[in-house]
Amino acid sequence: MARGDKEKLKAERFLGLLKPIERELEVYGRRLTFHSEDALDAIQNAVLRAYRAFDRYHEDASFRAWMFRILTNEIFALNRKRGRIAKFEVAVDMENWQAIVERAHSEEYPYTAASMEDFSKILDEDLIKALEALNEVEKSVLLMKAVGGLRYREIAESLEIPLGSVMGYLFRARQKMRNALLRSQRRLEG
Amino acid sequence: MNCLEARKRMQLYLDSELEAETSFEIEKHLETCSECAAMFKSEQGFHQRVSGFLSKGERTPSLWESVESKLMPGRFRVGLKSIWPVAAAVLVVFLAVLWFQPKTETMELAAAAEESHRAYVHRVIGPDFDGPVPEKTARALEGKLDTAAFYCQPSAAGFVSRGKRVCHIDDVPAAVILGHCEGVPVSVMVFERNALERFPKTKRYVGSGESVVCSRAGSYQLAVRIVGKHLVCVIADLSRRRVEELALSVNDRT
Repeated sequence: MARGDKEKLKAERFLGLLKPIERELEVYGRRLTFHSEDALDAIQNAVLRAYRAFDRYHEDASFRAWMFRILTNEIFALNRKRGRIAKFEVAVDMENWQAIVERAHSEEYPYTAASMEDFSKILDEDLIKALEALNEVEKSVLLMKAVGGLRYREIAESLEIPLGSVMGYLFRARQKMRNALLRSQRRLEG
Repeated sequence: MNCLEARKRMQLYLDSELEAETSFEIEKHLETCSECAAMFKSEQGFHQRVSGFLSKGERTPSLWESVESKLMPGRFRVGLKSIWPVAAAVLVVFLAVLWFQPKTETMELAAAAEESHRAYVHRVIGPDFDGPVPEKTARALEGKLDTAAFYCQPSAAGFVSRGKRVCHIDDVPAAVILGHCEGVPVSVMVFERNALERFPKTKRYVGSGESVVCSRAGSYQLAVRIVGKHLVCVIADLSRRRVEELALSVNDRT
C-alpha cells in the first residue's frame, strides 16, 4: 500500500473514533481549564498529539479513556504554565477508602434525605462555585465520570493513579460539592 | 445485607461499579428499608443534578473542523512535492540574507516576553486581580518576588491598567500588569532584579550603561529597564519611542 493511502486510512480510522466523543472532550476541556480560552489550545494540541501517537494505540484499550488521558495531560501542563500547579494529594489506598466511607456514613454524617430532597432548586451558579472549590485532580476525576462516563478503572489508567485513589478523589469531590451546595441552599432558605 | 453494608457501597452502586450479584442484594435491601431507600434516592438525585449540569455544553463545529483539517493526510506533502524547486530557491535566498546581514544578538527575554504578551493580545490570558495583591498570591511568591513589583506600572499619560496577574516567564516569576495604551494592549512584566542572572544576554545589554534598552520582540516592541530592585519590561505593538516612554515612566515603588 502506498504511503499516502496508509496515512489516509489512519486519519479516517482516527476520526471515526474521535467524532463520537468530540462534544464530551470539549465540555471536559472547557470545565477543567482555568480559562476557557485555554481549552481550545489544549484540545487542538491533544488531538494532534494523539494522532501522532495513534500507531501506538491498541484497539483493546478504550479510545475514550486514552483521549481523556492525553487531553488531561495537556490541560495540566497548560495550567502549570499559567502558574496553577496540579496538586496530587496523597494517594488513597483501598483500606483508607473504606475508612473514609465508613466515617462518612457514621451517625454524624450530615446529609439526610430530607435536607437534600429537591436538587432541582440548586442554581447553576452555585454548582459552578462548588466546582471551583475542588482541586485540579478532584475536578478531573469528577468530570471524567460525569462528562466522559468513564469507569473507575479507565479513570485510574487515564490519571495513572491507583483505583482506590480514584474512589477517594471522587468521593471527596462529591462531598465538597454536596457541602458547598448545602451551604448555598441554607443561605437561600435562611 | 444490612444498612451499613448497603450504604458503604452506595457510591459504587450508583456508579454501576458493583458486580450484578451485589447490586441485586442492595436492591433487595432497599425494598425492605425505607430509610436507606430514601438516602439512595436522594444521593441519586444529587448525582443526576451534578452530572446533568457538568455535562451540559455544545460541540463547537468550527473548532473541530479546524482540528480535523490538520489531520488530513497529504495536505502538506503534496504541496511540498510540487513546490520543492521554489522552496529550495527561497531557502538559498534566506541563507544568503542571513550570511550578509549584520550579526546581531537578540535578548532571550524578548522571545519569552513576546510569548506571554501574545497570549494576552489573543485573550488566552487576562488579569487575575486588580488592586491589592491577594494574600494567597503574596504567600505563593514569598521569597521569590516582592509584592511591590505589582505597583511598578507606567505613569505616562495614556496608559490604563486592566489588572494584574502572576506569570512565569521562562520559569522566572513576574508581576504582570496588563493594560492598554491608545487602544493597543500593553504588558508590563516586573521581575526581581536578580532575574537578570537567568537572562545573560539581557544582562549584558542592560549593564551597558543605557537607562533603557529597546529591542524588537517578534512583531512587538520591547523596552527593558532597571527600576530600583526590579527589572521592568514593557512590550506592545507601539512605536519604539512610545514603549520607551512607558518604560521610563515606571517609578520605583520599593
